[in-house]
Amino acid sequence: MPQKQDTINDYIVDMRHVGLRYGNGPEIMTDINLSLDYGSFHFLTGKSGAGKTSLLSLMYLALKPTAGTVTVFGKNTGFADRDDMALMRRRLGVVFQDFRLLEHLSAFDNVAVPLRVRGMGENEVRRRVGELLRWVELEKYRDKICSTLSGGEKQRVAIARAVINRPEILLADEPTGSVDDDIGSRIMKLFVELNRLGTTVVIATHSTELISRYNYPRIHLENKSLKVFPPQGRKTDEA
Amino acid sequence: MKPKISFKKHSELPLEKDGANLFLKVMTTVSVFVFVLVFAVYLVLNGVVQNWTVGMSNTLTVQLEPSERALSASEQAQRRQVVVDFFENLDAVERVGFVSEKQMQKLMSPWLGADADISSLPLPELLDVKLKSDQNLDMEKTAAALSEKAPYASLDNHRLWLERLVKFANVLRLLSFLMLCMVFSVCILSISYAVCTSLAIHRPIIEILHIMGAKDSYMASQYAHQNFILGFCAGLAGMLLGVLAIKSIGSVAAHLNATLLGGLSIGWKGWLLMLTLPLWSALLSMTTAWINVKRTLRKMV
Repeated sequence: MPQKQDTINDYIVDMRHVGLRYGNGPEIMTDINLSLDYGSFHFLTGKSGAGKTSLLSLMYLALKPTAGTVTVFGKNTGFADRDDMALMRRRLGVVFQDFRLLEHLSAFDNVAVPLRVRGMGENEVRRRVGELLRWVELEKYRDKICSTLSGGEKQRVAIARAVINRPEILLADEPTGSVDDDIGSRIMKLFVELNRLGTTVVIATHSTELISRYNYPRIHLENKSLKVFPPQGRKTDEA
Repeated sequence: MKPKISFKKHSELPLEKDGANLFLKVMTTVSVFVFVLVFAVYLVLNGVVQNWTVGMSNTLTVQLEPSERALSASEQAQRRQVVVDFFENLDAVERVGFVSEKQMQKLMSPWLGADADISSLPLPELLDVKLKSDQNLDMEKTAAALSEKAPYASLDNHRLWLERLVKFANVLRLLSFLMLCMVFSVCILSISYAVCTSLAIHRPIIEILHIMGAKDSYMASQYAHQNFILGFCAGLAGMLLGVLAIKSIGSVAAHLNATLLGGLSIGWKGWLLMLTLPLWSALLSMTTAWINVKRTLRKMV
């Protein structure tokens, strides 16, 4: 399982004076400074359009900052080559708000993607994916094409895909938005459990109820900059 | 990096359903078909030129036409000497000698019989000219200079005609080689176009695969695998159609009894090369796809 890494940087994610703009448009983030400790758990909040998804994109290396530096796993992403970026992304798990599943593939094949891209043998892939699909109660849908699944089922597939690799950082954009309370609680329990085992977790959410249930700090994006608030919820063990 | 072939079943990219596949299959089949035909022409021309070149030995024949009026012996000798001197002064000539009456008799015997008296016939005198093997003689210039010096003498125009034919065949050979290069280029451009179109269509999937940690080579190997199979199947179809066309042309040509063309032979090496074309087509498709995918993906984040 993920351990605290001995790197040149003390943070698993370290952003310094980060600015971001799309094309020639206006800057949507200005002078962002954010450091996430290894094994930390944060909620990410902000109004729609505040830049939550963009901030997560910078963390999972889908975007490069237009100003400042983003360091992930102790490596400045500005200097990482393409293969380095791929290897870094293998240490990440991402749950997208719109799931971004490969709709033409089955639930099984979607969850198997992170294992196959790293060249894992099919027997091990079958074992690990089968196990996880059982856990998220999607075993009977394993061969169903994703485009035929409901929103909640897709969300569970997306979460299973994000955690199958036992990531060192888990970035989730509204991960409980499309599931009922029971499944939502189970998903949150999974995230908490992963965090206890050393995974750094960042969850973007609009749900104040969800934040209040867990005793974790909150990163709030507003007016192109961010603030970090201390934990305000109940103790995590009680949640 | 060398292209690697992936024979794994799983491909996240639905490449087999690409709309560009049909275009690529047709283009590759047609390209290989045209390649086979042009390649066959190239090989046949090679053989023909070789036959003709061998036919042009290092000797030439000069005809001295008989005079319309009776000539004295000294006039006759002078006519001969002018031609002999002309050739003996050429650097490329090794030896000059007239065909004797006995030899002429032998040459004419198939038409006139062995006992015919040829001395009374108005036959041209023949001069055998042996050329040095290491030197070339410009036949056209020599023929012009000879007719100026001795209008009654003419070079054997069969050799001259053959030389022109060889030049023509060489031009055709060059053209067929250029056509082979063009077919090759069109094939590469078609594959590149199809791959770039496919990459644009599948961009959302590629982005997801990138985020899941896939290296560019992971996507490139899926394209290379798909294009290897496509290139092989289309190459096989093109090759079979091409061979069928050659066989058809060959059987038509056989009825013409074109002995001058030396039997239109492609040779076993040529056939062997043609049979391997599906493999070359597959390798070309695979490598082109691999290079294009890698190059295009480098522009993505």
